[in-house]
Amino acid sequence: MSDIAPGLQTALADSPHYEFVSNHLSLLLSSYPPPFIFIHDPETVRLTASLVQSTLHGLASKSPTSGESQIKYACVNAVACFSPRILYDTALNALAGWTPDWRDGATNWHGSGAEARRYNENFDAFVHGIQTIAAGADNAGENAQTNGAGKGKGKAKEQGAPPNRRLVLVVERAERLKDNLPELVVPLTRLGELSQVDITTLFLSEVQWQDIRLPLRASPEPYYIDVPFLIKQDTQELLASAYPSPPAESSTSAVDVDAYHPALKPLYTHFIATLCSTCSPFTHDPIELAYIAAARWPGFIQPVLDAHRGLLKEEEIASSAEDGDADGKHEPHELQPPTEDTRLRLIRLFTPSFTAALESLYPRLSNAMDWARVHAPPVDLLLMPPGHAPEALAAQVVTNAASLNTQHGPTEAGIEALPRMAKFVLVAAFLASTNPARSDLRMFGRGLDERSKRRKRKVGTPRKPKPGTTGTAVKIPQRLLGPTTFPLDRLIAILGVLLEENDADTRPAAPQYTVSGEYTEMEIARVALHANIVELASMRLLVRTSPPDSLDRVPMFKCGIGYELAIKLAKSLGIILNDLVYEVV
Amino acid sequence: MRAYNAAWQKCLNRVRSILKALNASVVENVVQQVSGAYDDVLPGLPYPELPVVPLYGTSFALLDDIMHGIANSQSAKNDADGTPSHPTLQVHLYPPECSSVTNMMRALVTGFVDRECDKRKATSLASFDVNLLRAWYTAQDSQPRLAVFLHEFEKFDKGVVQDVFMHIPYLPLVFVLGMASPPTPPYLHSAYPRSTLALLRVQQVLAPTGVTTIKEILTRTFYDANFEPDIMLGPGALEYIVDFANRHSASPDTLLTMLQHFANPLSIFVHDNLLGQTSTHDAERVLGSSSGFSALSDALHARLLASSSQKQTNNRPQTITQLLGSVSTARAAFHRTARRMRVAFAVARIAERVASDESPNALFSGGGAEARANRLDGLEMLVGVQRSRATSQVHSVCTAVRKLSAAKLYTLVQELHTFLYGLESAATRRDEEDARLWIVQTLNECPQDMEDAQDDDAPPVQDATAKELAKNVGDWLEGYIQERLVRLEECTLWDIWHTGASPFPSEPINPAPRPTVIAALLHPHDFIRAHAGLTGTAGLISSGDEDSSGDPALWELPDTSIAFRRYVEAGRMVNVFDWFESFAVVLDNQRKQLKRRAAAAAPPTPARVNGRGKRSPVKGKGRAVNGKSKPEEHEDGEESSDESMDEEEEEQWKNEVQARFIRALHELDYMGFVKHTGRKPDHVIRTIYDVPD
Repeated sequence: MSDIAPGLQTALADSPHYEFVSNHLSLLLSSYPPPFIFIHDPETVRLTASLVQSTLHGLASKSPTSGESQIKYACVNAVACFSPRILYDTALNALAGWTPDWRDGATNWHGSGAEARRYNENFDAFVHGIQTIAAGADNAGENAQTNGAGKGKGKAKEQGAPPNRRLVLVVERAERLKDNLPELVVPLTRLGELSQVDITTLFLSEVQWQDIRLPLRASPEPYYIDVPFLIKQDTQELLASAYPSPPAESSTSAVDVDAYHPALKPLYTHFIATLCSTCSPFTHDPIELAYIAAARWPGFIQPVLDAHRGLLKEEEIASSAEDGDADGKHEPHELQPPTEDTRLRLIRLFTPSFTAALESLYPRLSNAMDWARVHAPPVDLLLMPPGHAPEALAAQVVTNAASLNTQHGPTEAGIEALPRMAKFVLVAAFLASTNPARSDLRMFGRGLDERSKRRKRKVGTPRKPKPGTTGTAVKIPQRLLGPTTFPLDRLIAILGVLLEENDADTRPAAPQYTVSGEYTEMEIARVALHANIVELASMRLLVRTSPPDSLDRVPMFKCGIGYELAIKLAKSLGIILNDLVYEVV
Repeated sequence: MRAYNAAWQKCLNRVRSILKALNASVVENVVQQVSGAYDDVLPGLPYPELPVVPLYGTSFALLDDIMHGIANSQSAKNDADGTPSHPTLQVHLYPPECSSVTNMMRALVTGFVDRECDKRKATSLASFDVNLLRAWYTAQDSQPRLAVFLHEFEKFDKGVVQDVFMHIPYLPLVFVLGMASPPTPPYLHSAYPRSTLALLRVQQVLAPTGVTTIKEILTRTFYDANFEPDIMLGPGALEYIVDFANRHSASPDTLLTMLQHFANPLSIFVHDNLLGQTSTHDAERVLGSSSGFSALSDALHARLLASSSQKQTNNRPQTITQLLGSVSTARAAFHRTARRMRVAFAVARIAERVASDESPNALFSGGGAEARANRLDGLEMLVGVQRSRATSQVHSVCTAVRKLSAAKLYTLVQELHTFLYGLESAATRRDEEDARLWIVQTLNECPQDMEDAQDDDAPPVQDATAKELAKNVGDWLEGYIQERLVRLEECTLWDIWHTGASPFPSEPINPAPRPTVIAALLHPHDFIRAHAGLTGTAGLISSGDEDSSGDPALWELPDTSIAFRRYVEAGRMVNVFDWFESFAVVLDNQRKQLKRRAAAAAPPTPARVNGRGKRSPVKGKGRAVNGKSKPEEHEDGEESSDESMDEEEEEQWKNEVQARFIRALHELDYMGFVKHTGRKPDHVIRTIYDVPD
């Protein structure tokens, strides 16, 4: 999870807010580290992880002065290391500074000496591996270098056999250890004791230690570092200082090359401030904010760049007319930060779109790239009269969206495209999931006309709760409790009622069925209907709750759609759903 | 059969090409997404995202196209510009092999790693370790893109996929998810938490699905002026297909299955009349000599006579040559009619499109949605055209055309012109010679109207001529279309090339097994008779015919039916012993009846076994004829003529009853009517209730 953009990473390291953590950590590690450190960061664990890594990297690359010990570290992710073997391999390779090479058969670090030892078989072997490394296995590093294949990073400079080396093992997302490798939690925390070398285990998690640790106090009590919350001011500064470096040429098509020109940095700071204040009621995760900023900034800066281009063009025309001192003229028209007036205008124009960006980007209904494309402003926005600019902006969004859609083909699909029978099945499933089974006879065992009568009466006399009984037993409507399971037979029976009442007229004529209801009876036993049910289950619109491989039992289902969707479907089929629901909304 | 194959092959190719054309844009889109996933990244993102392409509405054909598309785009790109493009490697994962994170990662990693290097050494890195993939990747020179296809994505375990996505290896992976669910409500968003979604860059791609695809295929296969299917689908079959598509499933695969069913006994003449021989002469010989074909030629005769007697009286083909000749004439005539109909239909649709462009509200506002359903463009109209129901709509379109403005008229005529001159087959073009002439003539009249229309200031002056012209066009269109939209049944021998109004054989496509089985058990005689009629083996039911008029008594039914009848009358749990007892009563009754019948007819008739020859009734019958003993507990006194059985025979009879019961029970069990339960000894549970009588 250390995959943070470089700009943000450097900003993090410089951030005064995180200075506390990094200073604390480096001080500890370079002096007398406790064997087990636990860093708890409930909010921005990704940032903290990258911070810890960069701190460690700094410590490790620092050449040790006398009396200090060389630090080597390994970062493992408890999600990625879902088996002990991967954990051992990753940790040992990183500690030894060994990169497995494909041409060598992707072998692991195997210590010094001729015989290849396997350190990944069990925890004991792992401890031995650590001991080997700690005992100054420089030969291994040298060997690796002479092999020419795998080269340890940062190992080259300490060939002079430093007296002692200090190992650090960082486990990110340590809360997942408890699920994936519960047997390793205690040994890892006691790694220093077990291996009798100078090694520190560092757990990093968004969950508190007391929720991770195993019972019976088998683990030692860690040294806690709690990362403080980011306040708004810090977030702003962090993001603003993480101004991305200008992208390499031809790397992307969606964004102007000059969008991240260094001259625009002051404007970016203002932009971030506005963005933060707009979005802070909803999220204050710096990563999310940076994501939104990345999507919005290209469109935001486009008018400025357009204006600049226009200026350059005029310039060119002018210079070609004079064609005198063209070299001197270009100097002042480097990209200038826009004026205060322009800034205010831009911010006023784009502030409504910040919320729009938040709404569609935070739940990831769209991705930043598409969003940026759709919301690209029209050309030369700044030249428009101020009154018209917002409309022009909105219009451009619509046209952009339309052009993107035509590129991607017609979007008529959706739940409306389901076949008719599947819609009936879904409505029946919704009813079966919300109505209690004992009410079926009452609900479905009568004609349409009776049902509408009942509804009217019910509307006329709403049930009143008795005074004084309100607090005793409040019945929560089934809709709020979630769908209940039902057997397939019940679904088919309800489906039969629905079909008989609402579908009988649209069927193709079939003279062979004479008894009323016989046709429906045949229809609900058709193979295609059952195929439809299975297909809906595979779409997760119906949820199958019984195991699919047991033929003997009656299959049980659960409805996978909500009330709104059911209403919509019922409407498209001509069913009055409220007449059939036991607890009318 | 060969002719059927040829006709079907032609259709299939057509449908496939249409599907391919429909899918082409999607394929291109996906290929572009996959290959460009890492070239085109928004700068300034806080962390790299994992590109994911959910593909909605997948079918195998589509996926196949995509795979080929990706592979081809590579080679094409490499050929075109010598720049080192990144090849894309594909790995396909299916839900069964991804039951856990370990398995999924192993499948993923080995899928790439084991691709070309079979010289892989024994590695120390685990095969499910993503670091192995990384090591492999850094060793590659070509910097390939790695595309991972997750098929049937809904069936993957959520937790597993979540963890795998979490890895975000430092590798250019692209995930393509084959989704079966509709894009709204989005499955990805409802199933996965935001923290996972935040890692992905989701770019949806929709494949064309549903009714529109079906419509496109049907229209362009059977109603396209440029394509001539050998067999025309009749309204009966077409109606069923349309209804099925609306009601059950609108996937192209289903459609293909259904289209396969247009077989016909006479379809040997579908393609050509050569009967698989090389020359007409040979065909004559075959038809004359081979005994197998004599029935066929008789049928052909009869058919021809029936149709020709209505029209010409003296034209009776006697020799086989004449016969074949008349067949080919009829075929030509039929194809011509069908072709003309298709062209006319296309013309009508063009006219409607232009006319409704003109005034979408004014023209169809009266009926609203109902009128829209009546549009010629709709799927239902395909059926209507063949049933001659489209007349009114054609009329209204022509009326609308008469009211068109000059500019619109010009576009209409021009479109018709391009259409008629764009026809591919020469025969069709020859057919429409006069129509083309007429169009050119009208087109020549049009241009000045065109200028008038552009000149908005003075329309009223030229309005009269424009109106006149519009009226002409409308009249001509109506006459033209009406003349051509005829019922295809009017041609001679139409039923060779046209399935007509005969209903589609829906039962094999969409059967209802349970009611059928129940009905068969309740009324076995009806069922056997129907079956015999179907297979043509009437001799199977020999003695059951005499009482087929009335409802047969219980004892006359087969054993399984008897047991089933008793089962129907039982409660929820069936006591097997009681069941057996009641079964035995019926069997005793059966025995007595048989005996009485045997006594009535002195030479014993074969036993009434109701077509269930496997059961061995001979023993019982023989015993009945021997007639020495009688059952003890069912002796009512009235059957005084019955002889009584001795001990041994009674024992034998009891065994037989038991065996027959067990057999019937097992058959019911096999059909799934009985559920065993360990809760109560000697009891079984019924699986169906409410059996209709």
